[in-house]
Amino acid sequence: MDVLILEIDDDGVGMDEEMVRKAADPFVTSRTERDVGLGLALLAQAAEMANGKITIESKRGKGTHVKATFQYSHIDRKPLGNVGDTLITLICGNAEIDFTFYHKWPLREVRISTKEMKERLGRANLDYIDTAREVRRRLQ
Amino acid sequence: MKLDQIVRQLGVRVRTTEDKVKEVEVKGGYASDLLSDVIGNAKEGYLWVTLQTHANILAVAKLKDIAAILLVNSRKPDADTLEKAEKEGIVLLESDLSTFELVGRLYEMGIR
Repeated sequence: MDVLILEIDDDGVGMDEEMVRKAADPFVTSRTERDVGLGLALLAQAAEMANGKITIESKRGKGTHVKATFQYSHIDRKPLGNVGDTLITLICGNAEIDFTFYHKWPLREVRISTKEMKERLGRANLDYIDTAREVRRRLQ
Repeated sequence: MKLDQIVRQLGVRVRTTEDKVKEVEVKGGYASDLLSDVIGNAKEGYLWVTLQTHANILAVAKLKDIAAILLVNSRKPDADTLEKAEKEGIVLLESDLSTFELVGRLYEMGIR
């Protein structure tokens, strides 16, 4: 299977149907300080450049599911980048959110859960040192 | 330098927001096809030279107050990009020359 699939699920505020339709438009954003929003717009462009696409499903009050597909071998598929540092920034910058990360390769898989990390370490909150150590160890 | 002088001297085609070409002042230039790099390094009033045609270039141009976007190598903007550029008042230019040639000529004209 020559495909890379990226899926993101949340149990946040969700979007109504109209917002879902417009979410990948770079001139649509829920923020108020500027009228440009590039997150999903760039993800959609990156997927399309590599022969893939994004799909968004969402329900108000329930959450959102974003799926992006990429032809793995496509010459214009962007490299995945530094996932470890991205996770550390996400986790440390959003202490009130629990994250579960799962990456499956053909011969290997990695799972990182902040809930499990907290339980195992016996902590209510994870600091930068905890997070960086756990994430780096698992993603090695 | 005024944008219309550049348009005339380089012989590039104006695809959107033609009415602005006479008044827009170009303060410098930047050439890059990586949007994050443009967000990081282009400045207000710059002419941006790129091969990208996706509507996302317009959002970047708006974010950075770019003077105009110049598409290279006869690349045609997507239909969605044309429509949004007109709506957002962004000047889209088109040229048959490559980035290398265009930037060389612009530099010679004094755009730096």
